[in-house]
Amino acid sequence: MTPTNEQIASIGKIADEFKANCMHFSSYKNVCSISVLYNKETLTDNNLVVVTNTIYKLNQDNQPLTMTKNLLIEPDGSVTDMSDFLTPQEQADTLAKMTKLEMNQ
Amino acid sequence: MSTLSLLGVKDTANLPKDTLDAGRLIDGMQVIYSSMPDNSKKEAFANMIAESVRILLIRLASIGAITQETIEKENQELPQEKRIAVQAAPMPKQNTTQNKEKKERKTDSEKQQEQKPKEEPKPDEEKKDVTLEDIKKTEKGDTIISYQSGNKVKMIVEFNGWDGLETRVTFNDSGKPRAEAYDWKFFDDSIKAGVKFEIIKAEKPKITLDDIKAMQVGDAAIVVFKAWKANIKITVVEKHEDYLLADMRDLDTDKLNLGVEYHWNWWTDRVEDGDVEEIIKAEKKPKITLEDVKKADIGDVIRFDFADIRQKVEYTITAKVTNDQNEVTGFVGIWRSDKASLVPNLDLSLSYLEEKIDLGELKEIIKSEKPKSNITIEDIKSLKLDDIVERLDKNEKYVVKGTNKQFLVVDITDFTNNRTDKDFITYWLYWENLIEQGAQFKITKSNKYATIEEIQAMDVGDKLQKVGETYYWKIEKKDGSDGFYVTVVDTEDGSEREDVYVPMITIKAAMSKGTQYIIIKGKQFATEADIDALEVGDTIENANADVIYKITGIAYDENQKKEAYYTTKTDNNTGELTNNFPKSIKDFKAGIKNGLEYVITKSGESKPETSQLPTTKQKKTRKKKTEEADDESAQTKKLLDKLKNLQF
Repeated sequence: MTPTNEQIASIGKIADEFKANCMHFSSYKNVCSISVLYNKETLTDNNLVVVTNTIYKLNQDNQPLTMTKNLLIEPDGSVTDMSDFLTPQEQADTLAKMTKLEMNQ
Repeated sequence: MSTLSLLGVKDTANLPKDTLDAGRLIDGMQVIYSSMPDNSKKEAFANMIAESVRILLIRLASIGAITQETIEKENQELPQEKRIAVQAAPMPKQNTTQNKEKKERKTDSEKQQEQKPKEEPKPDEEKKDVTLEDIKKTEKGDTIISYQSGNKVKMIVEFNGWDGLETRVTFNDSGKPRAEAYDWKFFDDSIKAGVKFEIIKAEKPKITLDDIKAMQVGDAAIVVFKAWKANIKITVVEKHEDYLLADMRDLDTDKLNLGVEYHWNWWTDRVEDGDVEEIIKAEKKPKITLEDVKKADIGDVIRFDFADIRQKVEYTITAKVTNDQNEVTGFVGIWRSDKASLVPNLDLSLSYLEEKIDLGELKEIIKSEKPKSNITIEDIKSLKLDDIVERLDKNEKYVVKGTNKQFLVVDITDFTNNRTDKDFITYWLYWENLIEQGAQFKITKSNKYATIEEIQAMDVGDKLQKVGETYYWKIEKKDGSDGFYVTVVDTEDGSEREDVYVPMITIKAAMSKGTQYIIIKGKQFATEADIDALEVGDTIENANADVIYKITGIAYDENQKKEAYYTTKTDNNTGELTNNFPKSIKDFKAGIKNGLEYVITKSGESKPETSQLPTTKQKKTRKKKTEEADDESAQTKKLLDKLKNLQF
């Protein structure tokens, strides 16, 4: 699976936003995570999914409240939040067929 | 000499003003009469004066200003048809505040009793004359009737008080009964003036001690002490073995005594004396809670009954007051009392309402009856480009021009005001409000664009075109429900690009952003069931190999099950034609399983797509073809007998 240049650019933008968020909540860095997934079953599927787990605010006890986003990155680089068109179960089913892309890739 | 003097009134100074004015009016009428020329109008005017004098006489008799002899004397002077029946009509006494309050003491059961048809009372000349004492002994529900000048006056006793009766009066059994009060003097004067009354006692079920003992908490008994004319209402608070603990309200003074013990021996006396007039059962309504109040909505009506001040209130909610957490803390509404003037914008806090619940004064919450909308917000959320929503109750039309996760972009046409708003953004809240209001809609789906379900159901050979693009995808192979392998075909030059994989998720993502797709159905390839259903005359084309088979006969197995078809095989690649070529059904089905695509043309159909009804000529041709096929089939059957055991 080789990402297109457009996909790499889009992932770069998402990663920058992710980094800013993690910096803001740096003391909770273990909560922050980002991963890029591809379809391991259908290699001709050129879509990628970026899964980010970020802190969006702290509660009254200073405990982080996190938000997970599944972003579909199409070969043309367009980014779509999967929650816009898939139910949580459908998102889970889709991610189950995908595998993590190694960073050097 | 004035009319009053002529009628024998000696002391005009003590007359009521209305009577005095009436006398003066007749004087004036007589002056006018004397100056009128003799004609038919003068005669009519004379009759008018005579009628006025007659009414005045009745009034004078009722107030004791003239004697019976005077009336009789005057009567003799009147023409026969104008003579008075020497009976005075009961005149309504002016209502006092006390009387009004007494009238409001009616209970529901009393109202029901009033509505019950009463036995038609009839004058009875033989009966003993009714005296004032008889009238004073009347009770609630009794009927007093008087007749005069052909008019029947029916009075149903509502309340027998110290100074007179409160009644509901009907004249000539017509119209709505009017509440009127008459004092004893009125009855005394009327009787003295010769008015005959008749009393019909109301039939009341006798209340027993068992009825009293059966009373439950909340039930009430109306006790009337006839001896000293006291009316009390006893509302049961607790039931004990020997007594009822009750709240007692004096209905005459409105004084309330809480927690009075009424022992059975006391009740025994009351029952024996017939003092217990009525038992009012408590309303069996579920108790209203604060949660019910919190759920009240705009348009709902909260009913209060403030028993102590005898005031009933209907409070119509016009707005809800909420805190930062969107919790209801109170209401704004219209306060309508049956005693005081309307208060248009009155705030009621939840704590006030809670207090009224505890006191039992908040009686009911009447939910406003909103019409239910015929659609849900999900229907609106599923709208696509060019779908049309008509609002039936407002004569408005919405045409969807764009979709989004949070709103619809629509063109709104208001036919009533002949106005169109273009590209109007309508958030879901906008639609939710309309649905909440009960708006009625008609949704017309634009069938032009495919839904995700339709795309998922596409078959190999179908084409999917993205709106606005100059290419379409021809489905080459399905990857389950996950996606398609497609050939990209340019719609302008027809050129094809290599197979690409289109995941369904890509289509879903594009649709969520408003992209629309059009499905172009490809050829319908035969299924295994279609193979079983082939008949003589049908053709079946192997689209992959460009070979056509025309069915000329059918081979059956021992169980009379179709086993093979005899065909005329045409190979378009080689131009070879083979008659009576046997092709087993198993063979066809195996081909389908292996991805071969067969297109069936049924007998008589020139093209699979054509669905027009056949003309008469076509029908005849088809019949001939069928006959030929039948002949062919017969021949084939003969051959089949020889070949029956062959395996294909």
